[in-house]
Amino acid sequence: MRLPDFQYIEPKSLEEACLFLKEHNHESKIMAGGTDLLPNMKQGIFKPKYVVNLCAIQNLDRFEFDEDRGLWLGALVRLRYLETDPIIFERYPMISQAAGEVGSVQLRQMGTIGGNLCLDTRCYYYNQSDFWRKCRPMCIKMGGEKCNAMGKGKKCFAVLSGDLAPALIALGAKIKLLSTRGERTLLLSELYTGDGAKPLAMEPDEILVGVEVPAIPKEAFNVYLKYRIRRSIDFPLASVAVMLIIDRKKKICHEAKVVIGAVSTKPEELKEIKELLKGKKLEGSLIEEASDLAFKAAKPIANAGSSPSYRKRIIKVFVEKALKQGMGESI
Amino acid sequence: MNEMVTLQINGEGYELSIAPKKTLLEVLREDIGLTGTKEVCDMGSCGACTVLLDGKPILSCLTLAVACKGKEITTIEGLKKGETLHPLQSSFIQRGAIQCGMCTPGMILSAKALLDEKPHPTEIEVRKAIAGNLCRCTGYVKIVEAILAVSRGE
Amino acid sequence: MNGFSVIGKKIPKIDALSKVLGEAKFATDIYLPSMLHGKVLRSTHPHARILRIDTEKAKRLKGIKTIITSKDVSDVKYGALVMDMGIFARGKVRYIGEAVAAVAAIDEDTASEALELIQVDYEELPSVFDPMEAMLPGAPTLHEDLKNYVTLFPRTERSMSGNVNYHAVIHQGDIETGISSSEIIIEDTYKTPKVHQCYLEPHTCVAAFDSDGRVTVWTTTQRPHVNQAIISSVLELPISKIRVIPCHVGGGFGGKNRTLVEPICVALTQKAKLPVRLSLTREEEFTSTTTRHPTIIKIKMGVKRDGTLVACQMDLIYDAGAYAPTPNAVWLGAVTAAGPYRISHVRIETFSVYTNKMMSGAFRGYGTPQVTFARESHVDRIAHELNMDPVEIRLKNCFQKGNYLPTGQKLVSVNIKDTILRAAERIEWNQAKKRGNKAMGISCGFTPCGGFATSCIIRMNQDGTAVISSGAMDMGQGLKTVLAQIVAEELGIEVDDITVISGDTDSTPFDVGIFGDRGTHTTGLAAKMAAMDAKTQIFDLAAAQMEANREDLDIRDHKVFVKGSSERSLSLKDLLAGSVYKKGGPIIGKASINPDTLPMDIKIVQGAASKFFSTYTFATNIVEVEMDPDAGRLCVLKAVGSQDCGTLINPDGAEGQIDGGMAIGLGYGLFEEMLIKEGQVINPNLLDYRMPTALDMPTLDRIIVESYDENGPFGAKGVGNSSVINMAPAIANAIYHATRVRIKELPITPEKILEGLKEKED
Repeated sequence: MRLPDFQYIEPKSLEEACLFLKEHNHESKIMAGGTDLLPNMKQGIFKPKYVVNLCAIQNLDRFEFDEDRGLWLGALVRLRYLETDPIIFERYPMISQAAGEVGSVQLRQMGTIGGNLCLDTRCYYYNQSDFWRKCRPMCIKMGGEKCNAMGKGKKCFAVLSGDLAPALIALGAKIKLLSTRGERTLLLSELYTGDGAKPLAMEPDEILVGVEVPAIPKEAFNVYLKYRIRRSIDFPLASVAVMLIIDRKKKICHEAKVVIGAVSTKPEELKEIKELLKGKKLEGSLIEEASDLAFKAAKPIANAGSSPSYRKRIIKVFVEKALKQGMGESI
Repeated sequence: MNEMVTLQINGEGYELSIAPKKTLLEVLREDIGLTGTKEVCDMGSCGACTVLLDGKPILSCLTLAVACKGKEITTIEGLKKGETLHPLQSSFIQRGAIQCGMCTPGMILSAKALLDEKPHPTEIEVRKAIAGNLCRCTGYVKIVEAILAVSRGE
Repeated sequence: MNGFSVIGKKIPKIDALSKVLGEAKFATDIYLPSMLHGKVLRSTHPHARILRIDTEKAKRLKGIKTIITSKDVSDVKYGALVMDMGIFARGKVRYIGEAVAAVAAIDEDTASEALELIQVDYEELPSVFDPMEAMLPGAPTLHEDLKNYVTLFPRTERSMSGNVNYHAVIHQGDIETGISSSEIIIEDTYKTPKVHQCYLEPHTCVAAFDSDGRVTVWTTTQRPHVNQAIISSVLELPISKIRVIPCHVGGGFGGKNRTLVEPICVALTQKAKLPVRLSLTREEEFTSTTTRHPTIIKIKMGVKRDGTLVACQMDLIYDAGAYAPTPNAVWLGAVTAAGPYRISHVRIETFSVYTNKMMSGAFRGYGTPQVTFARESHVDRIAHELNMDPVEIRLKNCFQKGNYLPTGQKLVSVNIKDTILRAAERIEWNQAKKRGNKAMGISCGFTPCGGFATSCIIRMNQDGTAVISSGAMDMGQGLKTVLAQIVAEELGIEVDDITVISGDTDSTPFDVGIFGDRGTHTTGLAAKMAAMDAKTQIFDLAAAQMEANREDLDIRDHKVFVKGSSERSLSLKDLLAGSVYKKGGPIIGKASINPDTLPMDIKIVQGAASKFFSTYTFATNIVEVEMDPDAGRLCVLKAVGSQDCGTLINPDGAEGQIDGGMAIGLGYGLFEEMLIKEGQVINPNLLDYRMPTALDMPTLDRIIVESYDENGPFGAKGVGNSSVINMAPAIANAIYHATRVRIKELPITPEKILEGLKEKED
């Protein structure tokens, strides 16, 4: 399939990019690695007048680590870098796990952290060619009236399938957005609207310039678990990111952040689990209770591989597995 | 509107006038005639169009050719040095790793990127490195054997 | 190795060098000057009447060169056994993705834009997607004129009526007696999904006419000569005016055994008067080509308490999709359904049924993977019911040499028993009872091999080298190398001395197509016979010059010599040069064959779609799986494929086929399924249709069990099909051993296992 025509813009600085986007915000698409944008464009989902490639902007792939301040990841840091960097591997293993599970080596070489966080939501009935979509009434995400996956309803359930978002939300990451109006900082969790049709709380002229990941105590435990059918290439069908600050000897949980991904329109931090576990001794029945909460919170529909009931189930299994691992049980 | 771009492919410069919408895959095959890079899914899911960009494996079907200015592109046609095959090419032949041949160029380039970075990988590292390259003929057995044989200097 | 000099040797494939260099030209790599780009407008409805096609707007588009619809081509219907296909839908469309019109334009973008501008008015018709529903009275009818279609098989009362396009019955012994004399009877229903071949190279065709009105067609096909004949019949061109050049084929697996894009491309070329390239997108591959048939299989088996299989009754429903030009798969499913077992009373009834979906066709195993899954799952159940070892029940009942198929055909070479014993030994079956969450599963099966028309010409050059011309295609499996080895062995020369021309219809004689494991076995036999013909002529020449009896001559190492006194010899080169320069021409060996088989007993068989294949190949697979009981997930740890291959011609080639067969079998077992909603494939891409990656494959171990097939060249058989069929049932059986959950529907997903576990708890 061929890409539709567009004009190619390669700004040399963030200022230049912001100015261009101010003028042409609704006609432009920002490109980083291109691995999500270009397939969608080939399928005719987007037909932007301008593709604004950020690749020539200096320092946008900057990576910094500081014991006190934590990590700074420029938007263009490649997923392959996150997967293989020894500091990340040691201090934030779940970031390298999540990055290492994306697509294939080639896609990780091309894909960026910024692009992965801004992934468009996906659905069997949306990520298809123009021809394919013509066989059915237009869906809500394409501007139509009805959700084709549900066969009814006004809400779009397209899934946010990024691997990095759940992990970084669990770590309390913030993002920096830039436009001619200035810079603003959001909690990463605030980036996601929960509306499958318009999943990102970003203005069309805003550029995600980077991610701040706070420092976490050395003894903190974090893990990312991904369910997919094959062991490569596939997007997640369910994922769980867990960050625990825990006294291993006493098994007392000081803080627990559990984020579930790929089962709905946004990654969801399960605050009820956080409250349930805070200050408590992490043991069998409590873990069971926490994983039941996760099971209830996950509400996938039949718009991706596997079955909704199984994806719910695997969320429970993963939460249980992650909490047990955090407790130091060998699984 | 076309743009003038100079692409550095297999050590040679090509000055081309290309539309921004053209992927590197399309330019290699249609504008330059290097048809060794294969088009299979055209959507980034199969790895058949893998080429090396500054030595790293990327998918040419999801890469805009205009964005490759100033980068060194290596395709399967660039692996042979004079009359000498790259060790991976000889090993694929000798160990029966070739069947239909459609995955072969991408597979060899993914393997090359791995061995350049890590000359002595484990079997699982080899499998991970080629897990983005689909093959329908071989079950990957002889391909993995051929790559490991090169890493052992055989 | 039986004194062979070339047979049985690991000889690198003769086209491998061009493939590692990226120089091998596939049809997708053909670009001609001033070539146009074709695109096909496809149906957006599963079943609808075409009221009007308006191409006016599209015609006015700048850069568009031609537009064709069914009005522009002949209404000849084509197919192999059922003539039910046209180049375009005519009058109505029968599935989403069916070709309605085609355009050729100066570039792909213009062609795509033109498709947008063609207006088709449809009147929707009721659709039917389930073959069981399609068989009910009152179901929407896909082909109203079915009875009048031309067919090339004996019709039964049920065939070519309603939505049933093919029906056959095999009844050996007496099933009622068999069931009533059984001590235990088990009955169940199994289902298999629609799956795609996923050859990596998409269907691509480039066609160009020359000034003499002759068309050259570069294409990717398993059957260039049949393609040529079909182009000839549907476009009403003489065969002499068509040259099909099959290029390198980037994988076929049965999927390149139909003629889908060539007639459209040639028709566009004819009208546009410029070369046209037509290449399918991956989405079109998943919506508009062919697949393996989905099936619903009912099976009832009767057995004695000692494990003797007594009766097997099976009803097979093959979902043909909207067109069913080749119901052979449905017939071969019936032939192999009861398995490699001696069973006195067998009744198999098989149906091929139209539904409003993309058509089903050939995919490695051709009708047999489906029945193998059902039967081998069922045999395993019986073993458990009897508290008998699954290996033992198979050993007890398996075929031996001289046994007959349920169809009455005598088996020539049989070594199923060896494949079972060696697989069990290799994987240490006796110690392989369930250990923790690990368990093993076994499956046995067999597939037809060889037969049908082929021919071969060998030209001996004056320098002692040879050129083989065979109409048979190498799709990567290594057939060219195998033909070269066979001929080199026969003529006492080296593989390096031989050039193989494969498939080009200008320079090769007829072959019906590479399917049903007939490459090595049948086209190899033709090559051997052509070489023997050449050898006879060489010996005639030599006998005169050497004053010897030609019966006393032998040929080896580029020399013809008198047996027993090798000093009395002539160089092959001198002999051949003599033929060329003195006699006026080279020695040309040739053979045209269509191997005979035993006639069918019409008391046993009704509605046979084809004659029997020449022989059968047998295989056993054993896998070991590990279960994660919490999540129903499984990991296939290792798989052994124990494979009958007759005489081994090229170990690398045979091993590669077995490995690849196991990978395809694993995909069928665990991942692959075309998800179809309201007739529309919702995963028409290589991301959501999941074929195994390098990380999904277990450790594969293959065992080649050699035998001698008296019909094959040097005793060889094929290995392409029987390597595919056993993985899915072996995995299902292993899962049962590990969890006591019986999966009756492929693919085996964690959710199905989990549901089974829950049911057991309840």
